Amino acid sequence: MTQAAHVLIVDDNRTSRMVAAKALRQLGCTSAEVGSGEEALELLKRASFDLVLLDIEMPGMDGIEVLRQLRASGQRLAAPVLVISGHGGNTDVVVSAIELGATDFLSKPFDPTLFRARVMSSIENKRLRDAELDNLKQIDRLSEAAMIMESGRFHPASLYLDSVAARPDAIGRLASVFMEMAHQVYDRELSMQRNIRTLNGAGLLLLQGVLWGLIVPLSILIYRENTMTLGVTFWSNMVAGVLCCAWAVGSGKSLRVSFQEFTFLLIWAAVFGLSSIVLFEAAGHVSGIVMSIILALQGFAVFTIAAAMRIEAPSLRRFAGLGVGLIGVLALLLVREQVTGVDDWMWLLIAMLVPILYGAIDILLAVKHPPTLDTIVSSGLVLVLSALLVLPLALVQGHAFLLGASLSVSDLLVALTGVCVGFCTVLYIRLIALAGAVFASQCAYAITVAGIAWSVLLLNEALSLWTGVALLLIISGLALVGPKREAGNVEVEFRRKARSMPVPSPAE
Amino acid sequence: MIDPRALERLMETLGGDPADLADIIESFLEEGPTLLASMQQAMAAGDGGMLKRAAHSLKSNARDLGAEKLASMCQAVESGIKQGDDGQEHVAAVAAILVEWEGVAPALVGEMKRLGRSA
Repeated sequence: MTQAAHVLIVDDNRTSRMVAAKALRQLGCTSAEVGSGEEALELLKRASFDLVLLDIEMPGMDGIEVLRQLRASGQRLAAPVLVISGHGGNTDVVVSAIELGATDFLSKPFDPTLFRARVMSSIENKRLRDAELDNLKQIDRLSEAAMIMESGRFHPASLYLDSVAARPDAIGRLASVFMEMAHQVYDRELSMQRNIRTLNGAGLLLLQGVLWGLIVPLSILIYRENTMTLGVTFWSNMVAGVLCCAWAVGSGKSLRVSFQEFTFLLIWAAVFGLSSIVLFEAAGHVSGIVMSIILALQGFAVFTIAAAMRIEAPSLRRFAGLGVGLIGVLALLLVREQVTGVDDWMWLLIAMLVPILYGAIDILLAVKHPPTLDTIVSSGLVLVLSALLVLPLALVQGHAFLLGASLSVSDLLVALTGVCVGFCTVLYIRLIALAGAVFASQCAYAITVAGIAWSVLLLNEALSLWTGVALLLIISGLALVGPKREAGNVEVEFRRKARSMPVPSPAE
Repeated sequence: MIDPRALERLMETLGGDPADLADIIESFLEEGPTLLASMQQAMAAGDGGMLKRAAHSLKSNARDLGAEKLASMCQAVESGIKQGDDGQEHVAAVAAILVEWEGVAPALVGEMKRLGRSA
């Protein structure tokens, strides 16, 4: 026996308790003594014993009643009970004691050999049963872990099998094999999830690039017709905002937001309004291709801010990707600057404000966008808010005009820009939620490529061979940065394979 | 008066240490008079249940220690009492038990001395 067995002696007679205690000590057991059935029940509630020696005949609550109450309370299973009957005692009483859950009986005076045999075997059985119960508990945990896996989403740490797997027995081996397999499934599913995320992210990103890239040549076309940029900013954002709000209301969403959410939207609207003004103003002074190229700086801005704020993990590979992308942008600028496109270097610097402001919005959205706020609702509200913020400036500067009053080409272009801006804003929030701010900022590259393509198509700007080479560099940079890496603790889905049983052929 | 085989058996149950056996005898010599007193009390009060319990206890200890005659006398009283009895028909038996105790007690004291314990 590893640890001394602890026995409870229940007998109203002091001398009898003393005999039992000394006899048990002789067998290497420790003991506690109580003089009545009531005390025994009380003590059994608080302490655990390996065996109970229970005198049947006691004044007040007798041994039979103790057994009956133990049985009723469910404590009976906790320790084996040996009932003690007087010499030549009533056999019926012993039988009913055993029927009530007693393990065996001892008659007084004790026969030394029988006493030793019954006490030791009762304790041995109890320990074996405890070990079995423990095994069953471990098996329960294993099957719970299996149920967690089967029920769907899981993380290996949430299976809580480490302590089971550490056991040196067969159950421990089973648990460690199970854990190993759970880890393999987890790793496989995680990489699959990442691939799907990358694919979805890339799709959204290209769509975003194509649409947002269109805004650059559109704003240049607008500037050719209408130089009231503050009015243009107001209308394009208002059209976009009203469109998104209508979309939100149409799909049954409420435009109601909390004060905290409103504050967040107001900050976002202010930054976005400013970026819109700069974009529409710069459109008058920088060519479509150059503007598109400048927008690619957004990736650099976001990655730098994100790395500084430790929002996403900076890695050598991601820095390299960014570097390659930037080299592409610089090459494009060098090639373009020898030709036409910029009438003033000041405007080039002002235009660079746009990607920096976009970068700030990226981070703001990634860190602060309330998850409860619907993306279409927040897009709609932020666009309307940014339009309203620009309105007083437009009025003061005399840039206010009524959209649609003259049905001019420029009005049509402003409305079209608004539609693009609305779509892009919704898409962009979704992209950040899906792939993270750094990856989302890579849409700047897609915007650049698309912007150049649109500029060639719509503005008849020329695309040189060098421009093409530089674009290739930008795209490889995008691939290197990749989508955001999770911080761990991501659950994966466990899918069971449907197995078909082979049907044995009758010939075999 | 005292069956030496019973004492040997008890000694073996206790693990063979004479001091332990002496402890048990000492305890019985202390508890015995209390049990006898409660038997007399039960007779006076006409409480059959109390008489039965005291007789049972005394019987049990007496048998452990080899006082076989005392044990048998107590057992006769114990099993003679039915539910609701006032125990009055056992007056003579209880008196005989008291007399028997007067013989058993000094014999047990002698055993204690033999085991190396002064009374």
